[in-house]
Amino acid sequence: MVTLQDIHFLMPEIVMAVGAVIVMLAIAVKRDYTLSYGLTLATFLAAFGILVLNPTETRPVTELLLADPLGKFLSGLIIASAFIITIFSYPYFRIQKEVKEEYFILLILATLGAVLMTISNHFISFVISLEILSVSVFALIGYLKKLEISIEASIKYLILAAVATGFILFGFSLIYLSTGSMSLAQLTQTPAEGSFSLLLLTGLGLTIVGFGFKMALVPFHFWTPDIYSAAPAPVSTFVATISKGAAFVFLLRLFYSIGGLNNDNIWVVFAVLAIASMFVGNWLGLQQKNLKRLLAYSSISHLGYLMVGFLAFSDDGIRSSAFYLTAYFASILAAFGMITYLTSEHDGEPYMIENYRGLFWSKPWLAAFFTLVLLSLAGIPFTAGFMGKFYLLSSGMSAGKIVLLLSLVVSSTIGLFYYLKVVQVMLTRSETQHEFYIGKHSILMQAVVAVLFVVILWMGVFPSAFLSMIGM
Amino acid sequence: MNIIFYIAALIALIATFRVVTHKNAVHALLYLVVSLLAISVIFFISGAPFVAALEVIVYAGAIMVLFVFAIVMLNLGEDSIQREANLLQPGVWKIPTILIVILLAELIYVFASNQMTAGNVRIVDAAEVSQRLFGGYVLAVEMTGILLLSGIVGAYHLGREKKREYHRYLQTNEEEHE
Repeated sequence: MVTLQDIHFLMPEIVMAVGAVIVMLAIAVKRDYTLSYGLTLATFLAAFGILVLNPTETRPVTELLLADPLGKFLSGLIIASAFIITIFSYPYFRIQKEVKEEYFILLILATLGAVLMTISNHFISFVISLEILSVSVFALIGYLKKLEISIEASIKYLILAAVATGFILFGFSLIYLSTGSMSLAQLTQTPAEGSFSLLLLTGLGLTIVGFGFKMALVPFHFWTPDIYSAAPAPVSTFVATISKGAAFVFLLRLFYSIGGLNNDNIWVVFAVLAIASMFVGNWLGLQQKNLKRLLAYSSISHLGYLMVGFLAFSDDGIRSSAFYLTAYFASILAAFGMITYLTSEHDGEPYMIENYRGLFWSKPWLAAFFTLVLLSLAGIPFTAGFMGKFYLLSSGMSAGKIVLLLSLVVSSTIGLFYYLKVVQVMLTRSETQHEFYIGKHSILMQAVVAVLFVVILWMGVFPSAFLSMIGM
Repeated sequence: MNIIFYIAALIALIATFRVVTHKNAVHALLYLVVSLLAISVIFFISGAPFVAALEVIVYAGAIMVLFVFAIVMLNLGEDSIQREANLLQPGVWKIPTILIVILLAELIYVFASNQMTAGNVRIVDAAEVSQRLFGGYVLAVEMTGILLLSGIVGAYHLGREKKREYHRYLQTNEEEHE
């Protein structure tokens, strides 16, 4: 049963669920875009505050959920990112000719699904929260429904996500069949070290396919560029950060609890996925002229890097993955935030790299910020991305996974080219002027951009201060 | 009792295969109903009568009716009237009927032999399911509520008819035509 203590722990989630209903009721009373936006910001702020004030503890909350430091940290990261995405969304959707208020309900619900995923300790709670996330994201991707390309992307995502969920469910049922348990807490005890029945291996293999889709690891990555480029920029940000991060956490919990990485076959499968993601992501990124597609390929390769921390199969691996996820969230939020920032009512999103030609000469500060973000994504020293990769390398090194480390280093070098190509385009002198863009009049958005700037630098220069702050 | 399971499973496989390969949507749906009923029989003999009943009511009942309704609504015109006339020819419903009759025979056999489950399975009845749902799994029920909310809001937004807004010039033009 749910005790009072459990309700205490669940307060952030309850606040978000109530917040979604309040926004809905507010729409029913009076349609007001700014009001819905304010209520959404307040919801995320309250949820984040309560989460931070809640004591950090490790205990099961009913059979379905789990309170632990990792879950708390990632819930906080997800809610904070959702807060930032809300701020980016407000000016972006204000210029759209579409009914806009429902966007915020869906955003809150999708975030709630992601948060529930990070604290899930049971197949049932995971599948339901995955569905909350996916169903909200279908609608979010196709939110601007007058654009045919958005609707197409939405249907694409719907079908592929349904297939992926099918794989995950089938895998889970095979795991249940061979172990007799759906709770991760009980799965820990079941299989003896490294000895897996064929049935269990099949089940785990099928779940890997499903998770591979959710996290866009390489053989399952084909949807990513299409959906990122077709969805509204704030929604692409959401799909690139929050939904991937949440799926990664449950993958980590599942395979760490069942000890799946002790099995050589599973380890090799993940290693191949990781290496393929790094190389294919970076390789395909080289040819891109569309910035959103470029960021999609970049996110594919970043998830490949992240798998190095996962494959270290140690507490060190969890810590470095959490740090890397934070660095990745900050950089991708900032990169997509940049696209949102320069969106104009007249020309729409500046999604081509060409749109940034000469940015350095017309908006030096913005260009400097964008350069920092791209360098962070590439992993240049004094940025968050570099420290993230450094921690991944050190956790991989202590686990002795040399092949993975070599591919990480080599593929990052390949990736450096396309990030620098964008910087080079910005530095080229040109007559193109960026005059009317939505970031110009949004003080909150400028503040968020400044905060992200500081975070990326701070994580790159004083990572230890950051690590101690997140209690890792 | 195992043989009952294998027969039902085979029927489910054949029917599902026909769903995928059939060209006519209504015929494919007929097979889908058969497949769902076969799965329901499997649930029943695995000791889950409640889930079996839900499978019949929700899937074979409500969702199938919606499917058929949508297809009938979409196929308007001369062509579809001709097609509907051909719907009830024996060739169409012969095989699904045979499959259903086999399932019915299985069910009658199960009841007649008074041996409700396959092998050593504990029967889970509706009371036990609801106790779990409102005991340990109560949060799952709450989460499902949230899932429905997000589904409704999403469907409401995407399915919403756009208000027709004519430009003022077009409006006057139209009035002139009238």
